[in-house]
Amino acid sequence: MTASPALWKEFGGATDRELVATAATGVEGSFEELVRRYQRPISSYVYRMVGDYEAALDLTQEIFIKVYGSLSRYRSEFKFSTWLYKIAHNSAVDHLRRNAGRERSLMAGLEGDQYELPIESGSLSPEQESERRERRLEIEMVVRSLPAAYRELIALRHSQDLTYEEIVEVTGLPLGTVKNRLFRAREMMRQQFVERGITGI
Amino acid sequence: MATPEHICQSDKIAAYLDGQLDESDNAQFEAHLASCHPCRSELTVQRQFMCELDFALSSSVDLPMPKDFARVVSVRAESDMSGVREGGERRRALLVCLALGTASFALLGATAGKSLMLGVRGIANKVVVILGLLWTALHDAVTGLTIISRVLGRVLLPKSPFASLAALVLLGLAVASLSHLIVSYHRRNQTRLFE
Repeated sequence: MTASPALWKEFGGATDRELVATAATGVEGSFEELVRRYQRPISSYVYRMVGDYEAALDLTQEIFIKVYGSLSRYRSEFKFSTWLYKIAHNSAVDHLRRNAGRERSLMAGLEGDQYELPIESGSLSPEQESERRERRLEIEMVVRSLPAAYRELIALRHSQDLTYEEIVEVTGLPLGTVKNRLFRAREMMRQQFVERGITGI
Repeated sequence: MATPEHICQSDKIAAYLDGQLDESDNAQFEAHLASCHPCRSELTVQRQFMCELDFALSSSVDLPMPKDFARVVSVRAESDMSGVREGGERRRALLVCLALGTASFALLGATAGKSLMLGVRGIANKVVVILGLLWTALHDAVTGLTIISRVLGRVLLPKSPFASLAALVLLGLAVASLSHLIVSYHRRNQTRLFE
């Protein structure tokens, strides 16, 4: 079922499913609205996976082009975001496979000058803020030091806030494997926090 | 009923925190928590850790996107040829492609037939030309030799009819003596063989 775009006030009130339906019939602006809604979560997820800002942006673009090309294959009984993450997952895995040789150099450059994820400043004092920033950077670094298979699950669960069932859908892994890997990833992280002397965890 | 050792597992605590235990397991675990101090403290640690992770990795932390990223991407996607949308549209495109393909193959076939005939004819023509050339060369050589012999004959032989007659006689004698010489040579060889 497709509602009239005129009633949406520039698509803001449309659901993802409605936007997909109108984008598939070529209504101008509806696909752009979908991209606008998901560009940030998808790019940050991809960035966590590939660890390179430029590559993450290129991949994000590639993912949305792929999504547009397969809009007709989208089945509305699934959540659009899950379907989108699934495409993003496949693209990121392909990218990692293509650049398998570079994985090591990525790991080696962990402590070096990498892109710093910006931090939302709330009502914190400058000291608290810098402390938070430091803590976040440390955690980011620990996440990046995880093997890709673990890193992804941590990103999907804790950054993108997906449920276990959604992670199963996105990665195609059995539920048991997802649970097991997530548990082991967290254990590895805790271990590293202890080694790095990160307190309060 | 599960044993306490079975329940005191940190993966069970993680599953509990993630809301992954079913109702009966959940109740059982909560009952166990009330009586197990190590599990309670482990639960506190894990909960704090997960909160920290969620906070540090929450999606409020985003990559800065280039200006107009959504517009650029959607325009690129919409102009991408692989984005032919409807099945019907794709089928129509496939049919048109098939028709064009068949037509071009037919045309190619026709042109190929013609060009094949042209090729055979071309080769035949070339053979004829080469044969003609050889014939002309042979003809010219014979003509040239005739002319040379004529010229030589005229130069060598004086203009009087008597002299030419004498030359002819001389030629006849030479031919006769040559044949005689050859015959005698062979005879001598033969007699040598039989001796």
